[in-house]
Amino acid sequence: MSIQGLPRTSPGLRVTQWARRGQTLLFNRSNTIMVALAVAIVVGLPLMAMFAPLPHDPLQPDTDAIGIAPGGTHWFGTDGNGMDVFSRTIEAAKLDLPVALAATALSLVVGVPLGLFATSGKLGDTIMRVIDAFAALPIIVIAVVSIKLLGGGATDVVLAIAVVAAPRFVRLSRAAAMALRSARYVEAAAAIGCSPLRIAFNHVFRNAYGVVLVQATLTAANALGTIAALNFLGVGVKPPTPTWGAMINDGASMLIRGEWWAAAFPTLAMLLAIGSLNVIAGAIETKIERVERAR
Amino acid sequence: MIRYILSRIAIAILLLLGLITLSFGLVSLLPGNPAVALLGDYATPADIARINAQLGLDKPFLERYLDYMGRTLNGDLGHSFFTGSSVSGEIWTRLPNTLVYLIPGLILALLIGMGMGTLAAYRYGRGADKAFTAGVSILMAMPEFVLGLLLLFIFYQQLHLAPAPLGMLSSSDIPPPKVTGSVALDAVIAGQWSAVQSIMGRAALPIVTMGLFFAAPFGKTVRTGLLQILNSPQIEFARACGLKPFQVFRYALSDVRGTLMTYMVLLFAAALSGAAIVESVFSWPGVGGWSLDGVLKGDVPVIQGFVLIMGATSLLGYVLLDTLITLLDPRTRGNILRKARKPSKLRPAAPGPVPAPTAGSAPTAGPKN
Repeated sequence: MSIQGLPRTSPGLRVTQWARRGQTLLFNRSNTIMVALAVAIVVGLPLMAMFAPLPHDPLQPDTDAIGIAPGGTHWFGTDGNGMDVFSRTIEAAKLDLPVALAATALSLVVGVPLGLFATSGKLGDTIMRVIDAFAALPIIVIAVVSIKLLGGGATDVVLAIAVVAAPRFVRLSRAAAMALRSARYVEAAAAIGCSPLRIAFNHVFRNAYGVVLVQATLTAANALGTIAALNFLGVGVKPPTPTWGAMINDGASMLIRGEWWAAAFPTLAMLLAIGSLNVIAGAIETKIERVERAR
Repeated sequence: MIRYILSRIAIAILLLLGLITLSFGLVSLLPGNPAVALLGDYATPADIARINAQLGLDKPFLERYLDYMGRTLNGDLGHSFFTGSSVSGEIWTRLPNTLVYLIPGLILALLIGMGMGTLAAYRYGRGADKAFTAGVSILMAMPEFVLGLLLLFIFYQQLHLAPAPLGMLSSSDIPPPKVTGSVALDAVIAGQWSAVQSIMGRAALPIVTMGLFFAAPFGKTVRTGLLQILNSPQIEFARACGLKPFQVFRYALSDVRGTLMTYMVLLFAAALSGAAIVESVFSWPGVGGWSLDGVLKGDVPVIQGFVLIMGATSLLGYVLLDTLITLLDPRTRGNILRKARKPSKLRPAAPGPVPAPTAGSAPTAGPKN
């Protein structure tokens, strides 16, 4: 077989130094400009929705302006009810992003301690079996049922998403705890009589929090998608309130007629937010890798 | 090994019983009285009491639970509160409709994912790999319904290639005579190829949506797995022996096989539970839209039936998966014979980060010893 047939990973065939530097500048996930932009989007969109003056009232239907294409007065056009798409898209960030972040935080708070302590013993086994049973349940159905169960406001969506996402953190932190529990320093800590609580958080978790953090950011991105999917199905949102998922659902029928703007702009906003969270996760990951390599 | 498989089946049966309990418990806690929902807000107390008695809701909790357990184990999932149709009957007619697009979709995803992932692994660091990574991140960020709507916009609205998203058959198609209850199967049995063609044409966009949506995790897994194995000594050795590239690739792929199968089952379960989304985009008369309707109306037997069927299907998938992996992968068999091995006492612990599970939950059904 020829040299060309070898994979690029073979030593001696790697990309040269200068080429790699160029690539880092262009494609690297931890590109500072990209990360700054991503953080600005994730933090800025909700703030903008809260404090910036919107050009139109996002809840006020205008019967004279139904389904207008994007233009001067309505930057993103208007939807089937005559509500301004731009104002609604921004306004939706106020609900969508905080809900996604809160759900992630809640599932972290519940999942990580469970995972750290589920490494051994009868109780740990039981916890893992319950988690397995949860994994066997259809996710969207759990979410829909629990939202229905709780009433259907934003806080209920937070709870539902947290329930769905928590098993992931249980597994992840459990895997970390399993891998680290026979590490020298953990054994040493146990030998000098540290309490299990101290070992779990001060010794095990501190050395694994990076992975958990990356997963948390990805979970937040995922949660945004799930929330949008739920709202798209009409769950967890009351009609005039704008959320990206509900707006996409409203715009879908217009989309099929060829009036793309009512669905396209909320979709873009949502993808932008999800993409930003992914960029942030990538940056954290690269950072951790760098720290690991430096050790 | 037979003992191992039997133990997996036993665990699955126990989990199934747990699932029945869970679906009963979860749904019994739903707020609102179904009788009120059924009769409207102006129902008289006498009417409510009558309906409650009719639905068996006036009995004590424990009796209802035992009754439910017994009926479910006999295969009777009850009747819908609202339409009165049998839940198991509905599932039998609707589940094939969902599988019509779901299984081809997953196979398409596997094909796309394997092709792209292999290409990316073989051309690591070059243009194809860069494009693959970018494509995967874009696809991963895109929820299912966005993908479906995008495809609809391009292929129906702009190019006029796809039919309107209005269900499985158009009004001009003659529905096939009823044999099994599911339209697609009946059309095949009756030999109505025009109807089959129509269904396939309408299923094309859902299939492509599924295919693209699930191709990303498959592709990522294949790429990561192949990258690891292509640098391993055994592949180096296979190359040194002068095997043809195709044979080398086959050996490399056999290492990724287990992970891929795990993914297939996980994604099948995920796809079934997410069926409501695709079905609401394409107005597809499958099991997803029906169950969502049931959930939104608070139709207790429908919700219970759906949760149970989905859970049972996933459990069945996990058992099959474990069996297959044990059959195919000799390494897992060795572990079973050696019985429970004390973890990490033998190996030096690596204080590095634990590899994060990529999509969704971590593979639960991996070989556990």
